[in-house]
Amino acid sequence: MRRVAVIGDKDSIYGFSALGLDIYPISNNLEGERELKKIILKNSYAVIYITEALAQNLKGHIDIFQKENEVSIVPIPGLFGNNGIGMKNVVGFVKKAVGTELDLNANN
Amino acid sequence: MANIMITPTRMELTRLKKKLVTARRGHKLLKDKRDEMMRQFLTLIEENKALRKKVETAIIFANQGFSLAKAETRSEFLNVSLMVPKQEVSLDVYYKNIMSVNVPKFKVKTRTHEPGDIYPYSFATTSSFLDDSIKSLFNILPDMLHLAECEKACWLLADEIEKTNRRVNALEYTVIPDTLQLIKYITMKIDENERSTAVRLMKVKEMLLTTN
Repeated sequence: MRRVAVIGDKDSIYGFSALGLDIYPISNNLEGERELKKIILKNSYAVIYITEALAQNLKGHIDIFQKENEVSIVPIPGLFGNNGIGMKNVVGFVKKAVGTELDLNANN
Repeated sequence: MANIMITPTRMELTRLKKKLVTARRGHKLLKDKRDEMMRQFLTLIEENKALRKKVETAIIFANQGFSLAKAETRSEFLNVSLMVPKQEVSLDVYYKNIMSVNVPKFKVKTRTHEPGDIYPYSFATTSSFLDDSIKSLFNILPDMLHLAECEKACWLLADEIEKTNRRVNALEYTVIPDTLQLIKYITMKIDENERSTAVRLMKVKEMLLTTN
């Protein structure tokens, strides 16, 4: 049985605790990095949602964790500091696989 | 061309011919694997994009509600109201094989099945914005988990496609042409040897005839 974690600034994530997800409120990037490492080491989470503002700052770490662990780290928009990194990641996947960017909106 | 460091013998020729057959077969198989993975990847990425749009809209809506609730309610009440959640989500993880890439799939289990259990507080002291936001998050949760599955699958597939692509290119542009060139080199050497043996024999025969 694995669980779901949410990490980010408190105001953006406290609502998720009502749904039964584990929340890890942090106040700065350094604390975020430490907390994320701790969560990953616990190895009891299958999914970690992370606010976009924090994801942007910990991008290097997240890429390594995604590669080495079975955990899925997903950026979600927070209350502030949204930078569209989630959507950028999707474009990044396409770029990596196809070798070029594809206009996925072409037939929408 | 690779440095020719092989002895031009028939044994080497047979070995190289076998190698060429294997390389061609491997190349074809890997190319097919890559094409199929790419097809699956493109469907997944479309799904991923649609899901992400949906989830982001819902979360942004919920966040607006939380801000309003925070403005309306005293922070002590707000902190206490969500301190002890009634609901608990856990996931059963199993793996699906897409072209030898293991992608995770989740089976969601909740502690209680009552949908009302997402409100662990009294309605008297909290704002209705909080209820709306939590309801909106609750409704989007299945899609959020699906998004997590989808993103991980896309990540893994993109990685595998990149690797396969590199292998296909290595076979197509290095291994197969090099082997072909080596085979040509050995065949020419052997032919040359044969010709020189024939000429030598003729010469010897001629010499023998003239002495007698």
